[in-house]
Amino acid sequence: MRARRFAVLALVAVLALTGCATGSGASGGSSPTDQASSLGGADLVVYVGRNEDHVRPLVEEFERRTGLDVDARYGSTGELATTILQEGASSPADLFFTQDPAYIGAISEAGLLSRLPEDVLDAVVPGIAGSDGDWVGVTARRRVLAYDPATTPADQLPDAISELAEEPWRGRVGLAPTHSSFVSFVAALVAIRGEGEALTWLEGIAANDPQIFDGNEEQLRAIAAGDLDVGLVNHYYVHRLQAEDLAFPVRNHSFTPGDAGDVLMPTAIGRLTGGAHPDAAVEFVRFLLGDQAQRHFLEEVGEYPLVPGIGTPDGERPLDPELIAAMNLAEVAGNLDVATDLIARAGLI
Amino acid sequence: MKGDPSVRGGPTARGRVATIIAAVVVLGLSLPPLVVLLVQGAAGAGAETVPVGRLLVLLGNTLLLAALVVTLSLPIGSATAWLTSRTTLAGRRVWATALTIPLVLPAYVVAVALSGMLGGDGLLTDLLRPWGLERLPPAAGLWAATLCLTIVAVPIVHTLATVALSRMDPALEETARLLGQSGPRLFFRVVLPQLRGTLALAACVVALYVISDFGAVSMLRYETFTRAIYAQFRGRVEVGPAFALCLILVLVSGALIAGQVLLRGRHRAGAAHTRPAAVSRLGPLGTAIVSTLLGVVVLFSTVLPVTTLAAWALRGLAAGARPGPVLEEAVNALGLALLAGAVTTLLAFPIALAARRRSRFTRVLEGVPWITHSLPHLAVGLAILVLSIAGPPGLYQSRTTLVLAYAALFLPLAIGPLSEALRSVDERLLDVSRSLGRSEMRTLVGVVLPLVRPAMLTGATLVFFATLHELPVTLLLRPTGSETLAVRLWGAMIEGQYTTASIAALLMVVISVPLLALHARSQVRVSVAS
Repeated sequence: MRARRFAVLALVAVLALTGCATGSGASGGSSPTDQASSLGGADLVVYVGRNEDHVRPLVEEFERRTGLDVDARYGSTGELATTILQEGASSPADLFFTQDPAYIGAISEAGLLSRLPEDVLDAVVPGIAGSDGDWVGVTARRRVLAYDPATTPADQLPDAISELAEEPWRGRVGLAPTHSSFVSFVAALVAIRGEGEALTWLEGIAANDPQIFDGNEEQLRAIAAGDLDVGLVNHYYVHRLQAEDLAFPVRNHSFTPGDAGDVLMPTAIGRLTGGAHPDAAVEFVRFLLGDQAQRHFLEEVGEYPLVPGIGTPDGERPLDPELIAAMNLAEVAGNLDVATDLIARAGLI
Repeated sequence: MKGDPSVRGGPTARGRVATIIAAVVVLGLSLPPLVVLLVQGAAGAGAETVPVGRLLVLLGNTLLLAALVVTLSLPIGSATAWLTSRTTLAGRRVWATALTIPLVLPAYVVAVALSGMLGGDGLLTDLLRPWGLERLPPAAGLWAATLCLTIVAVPIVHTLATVALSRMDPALEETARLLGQSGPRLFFRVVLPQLRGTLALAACVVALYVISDFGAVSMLRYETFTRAIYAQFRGRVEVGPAFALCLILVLVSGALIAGQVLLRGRHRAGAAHTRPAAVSRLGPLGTAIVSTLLGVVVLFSTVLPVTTLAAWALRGLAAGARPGPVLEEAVNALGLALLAGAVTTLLAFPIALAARRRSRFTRVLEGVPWITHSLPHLAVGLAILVLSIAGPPGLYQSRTTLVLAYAALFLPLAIGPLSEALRSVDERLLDVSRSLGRSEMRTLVGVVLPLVRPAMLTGATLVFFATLHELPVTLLLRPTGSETLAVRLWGAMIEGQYTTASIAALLMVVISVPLLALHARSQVRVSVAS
């Protein structure tokens, strides 16, 4: 009897489990009506499209310093951007802290960001801000090729990303084509080299039997485990994983300066027009561009501080101002849909 | 289903009130997401984003995976069901319980466990290395996705088949036995044909699970159709195309459900038979073989995944990894799941009550929540997001909206057991109560409610589990600053933080297992009492 009862319960549990799809995003075409915030109480609401572990200590420090109560919504940059676009002017968020420029650009193009004060815009390296001064870079990462020197000798590594589409690299390259860092990278390719060349490269890579991942750290883990040879990622993941495990074997390889693969990817923050706490929002941006936060990103995360004079991550070459100027980041920011289309057309989605 | 009492002619006043409330619940809760999905999907249908050829490849991948998982899980699941309910196998009940434990593991948790188990740095590779095996391949691609989803599907089939076996008329088998059939021959010639309808249902349930899964296939790097939807949602300003792709998935689900109905034919689940069916005798050799086989199934579906999660958690903690505020999130998840269980059961009651009157209208009322339930959660979540942004202020990103979204998704889980129980309540009992001068309301509370309480509890428990595991809707609609275990687990996986992911997954198991056991026990007590 007992077994049967248990089975009956489990039977319906079966139904409970069906349709357990996962994923996320946001949705379509609602009219942005009036403010619908239910977040009474918080003094500042920040949508954080970055790793929670990197940002939470800073949020707590800011709360401790200012006595303000901050509500942070952590998620992936792409999902939060889509959410904000759906929320429109009624978004409860005061700030959007993104890890990739194309997404803040999409928010900016939708007219949902308000201009930041001059002192904030002037604090960072020139060239890393929205064209309307409505977002500002916080830190930067470079695109690199991660590899394990023990299994792939450094002298065999390519100088240019175009080589990755060639025969010797068939089946050996890891990519995360739906990850915001890759989408932003393609947006940069379009800004630097034009749509045609970007598509050619994507199609070449797609035809070379790449290994598709969801995120960047998964690729590093696969390389360390010997399951993957090289992965196209941002530079700072290696630093983080080495901080956790001194024996972590993966290293970064930089493409030749000036190659389309050698691009800078800033993290950025922008203030939303609909936010209820514009002053606290600016305070938080100032805090992120302050000494303590910038050092935190340099030392704990291994990213490039964008405030001059703080330093350069261990083992990475210093930021090249010419390279930054050539990147035209304000244009990169406008290329989100173009980039996603190209990735889809190349068959990488 | 059970020699139906005079439901049709029941007093109309009570029925009408229940029907009105039921209609309000369905119109207000289950229908709106459907409408949004249809309208938005139609609007986005023109946009060409992913090339058609590629979409077909992805759809093919999805269907191939579904076919493989169904092909593997049906024989394994029905075999385990037959072995644990119809043979003299020692420790049948222990086996039966062990086989159903993976029901508390969502597929994405099994995926986490598999990727921690296999590959160059996997636990299993570490264990096998001293035996001369250099490395296991990483958990990636078609075979890994098949393995993962089969692990999740076997207990589903097992459970459905066990229930069907317990309801099967033993007379046919007894006749066959008298004619000298036994063991596997009896199973294939007599039992299996009677299971046809159930297996069709199981195949449909499993296939629906596979085609709407995103988390597991994504972690295991197998490219399916949900991936295209997901990529459209997070990489684009326009969201119409993503809704349009959702509609394609809905069409596939619809075809599956229709196919299942056709396959089942006129086969109806029979009434429960009080007479126990005879069991097949297993010799010592048979017992040994069967126990070994079952042991392998349990090893892969429960022992190895849970051990792997524990090992990764311990390894990470020892290396100084700092898990996020996981405990806080466990409490939050627990609270939400309890609330969703209670609210959904409450909302399900009028619908189940209305369903006692078998009119076309009440059938529709009962059917609409099932349609919403079988949609991809991502689609439902997005539709509710759209609605809550457009709705009255205060609803967006509120706990209320989140709980109502869970209710919209999981209503059928509460309705199912409840309407079954209500249908078996003898109308004469209610007549007696009424003739004693009790009002309709007092009859309902004093007579009906105690009779269907176990079914209500069952429904609430199912909603509880479903809520605890739910991911996409939670990701989209949770109030800012309040995370749940599922959200934490997902985020940690994406960031490659296996320690945190393992701890969150283990906590999910820790919360689920005692509740499932407790509930199974309360069911036994009730059944003894009644």
